[in-house]
Amino acid sequence: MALKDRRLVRFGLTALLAAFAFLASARQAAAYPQFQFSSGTNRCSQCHYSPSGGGLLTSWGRDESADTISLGGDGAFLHGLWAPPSWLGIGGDFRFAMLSNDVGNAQGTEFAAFPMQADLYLRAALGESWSINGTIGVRGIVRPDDGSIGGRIGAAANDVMSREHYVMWRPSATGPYFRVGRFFAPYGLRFVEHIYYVRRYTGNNLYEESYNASGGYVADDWEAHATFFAPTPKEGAIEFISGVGPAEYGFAGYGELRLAKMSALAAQVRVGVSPNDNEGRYQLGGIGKLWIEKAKILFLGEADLIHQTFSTANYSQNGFVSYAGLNFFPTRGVLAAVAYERYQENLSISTTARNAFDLQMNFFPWAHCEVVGLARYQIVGQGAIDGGSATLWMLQLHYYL
Amino acid sequence: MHNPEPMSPGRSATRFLGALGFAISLGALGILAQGCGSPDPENTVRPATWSFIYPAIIQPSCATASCHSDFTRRSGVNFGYSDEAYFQLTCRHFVLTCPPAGMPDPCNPSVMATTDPSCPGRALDESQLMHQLRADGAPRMPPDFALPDVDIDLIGKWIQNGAKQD
Repeated sequence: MALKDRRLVRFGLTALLAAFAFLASARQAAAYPQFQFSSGTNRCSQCHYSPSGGGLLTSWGRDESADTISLGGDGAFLHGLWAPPSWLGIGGDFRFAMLSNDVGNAQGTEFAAFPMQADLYLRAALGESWSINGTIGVRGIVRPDDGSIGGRIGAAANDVMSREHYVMWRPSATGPYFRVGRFFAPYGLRFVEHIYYVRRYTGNNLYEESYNASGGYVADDWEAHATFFAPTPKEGAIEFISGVGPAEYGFAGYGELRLAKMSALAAQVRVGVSPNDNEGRYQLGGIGKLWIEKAKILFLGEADLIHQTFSTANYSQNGFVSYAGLNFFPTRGVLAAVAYERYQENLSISTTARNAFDLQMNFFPWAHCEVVGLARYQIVGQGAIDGGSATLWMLQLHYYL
Repeated sequence: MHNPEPMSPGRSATRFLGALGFAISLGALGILAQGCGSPDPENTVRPATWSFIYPAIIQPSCATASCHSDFTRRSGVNFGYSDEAYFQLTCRHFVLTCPPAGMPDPCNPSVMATTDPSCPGRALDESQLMHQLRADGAPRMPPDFALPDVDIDLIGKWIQNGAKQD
């Protein structure tokens, strides 16, 4: 490593440690677009069919999952026992979770064990450029009215849904693309963990996928995505394609510039108008990613300003949401992360803030398998003793098909 | 892991930009994380009206995928839409509304309200919603983390003002 590189690493680590020491009074955890740069891949769509990442893995992504990320095994579909025809892609994500959550209840700490995710991904290529992509799954619910095994199984039939389904024109892995259908408009760091503030409070919370017309361009060193979105049908609609969140119409834009295969800067904008609630939400944000090869550390940061208007109430407010995380890859098969998050509903009122400290460990013992341990401590408002904090411990068992 | 390719000749510039992005992210976080604004203990900044409280607090905190969204309706409670959420809160008595006596009861318009004159004074203490938000003799809502006190107080102020659909 050159002297300048060493200085940069030292400066980065010192700045980050200083920031954490300055901000932190407790601690807590994170999740994973963490493999960009750290696994040698430059862009998310190298490993995923989606041009903005997430969902079904490409054959490159499957190879990476076994050869780079896990301790061993075969990342191919069904561990390589059977290969689907080249025009067909099949995959899935299945998660089971156990948690304990202390929010200051007089009844004590809550314990729960539940199936968190069961999604099957399908992709059918139609010639060289077109494809049909879809996800079908069962909604995971932490606290169902009937939490017994029989109750959960009985409810599962009513909880089948499709979070994503779209038609895409994408003639090559890099270059222009266009897609129409339901998916998350490209925006933000796009973590797996939906509890992170930068997902939850930016229009990307669980099952908030919208209906979109989206296009963009993906190159090796940059990418740009533009999306017009409309809400999922809600009242009286088929639950199979319904969603949650405000019924917003709007636009999302995301542009990322990658530098020297070790860092990236991104700018993003999102405008959403909800006629039902006479609410407008205008977001402007930035993202920074920096991979320090020598230290095996990936820094991920996101910050968004949110301007909301409430026309019926004749009021508007400015909010802020951010994430800063350090992801450390001490050895193959292990990812350890610490993160700090902040969300403030109203920048004029300091007591509307939430702070979270995350500590997370991901272990990939074998291709297709992952164990996630997550600890999360939140301070709400001024963190009063009467329940202004929350402590979450979670263990996830994850299998991807 | 794959070894990154060697840096290009223009790497000093890219290093600078990478470091700049890093610094900007930390800087923005460090400055803004210190908390802008005043505590507003009297809740004078924001309107205590349903047209603000629902989209700003109730919808994002309560109408989530696993809880009171339109398709989960935990305990039969749906906060997925403003009108429905208002109906559920007031007509299922999570919030004591105290309609004026002699006027049609909003939850049953064919019946005239016969509200006890002492009702407005009791509304805050006897609203189940407030006890749930404060985990005061009831399981906390939302169950994953408490709302900020200043948000709970704003909802309390709305209840004290008659919990109107304003």
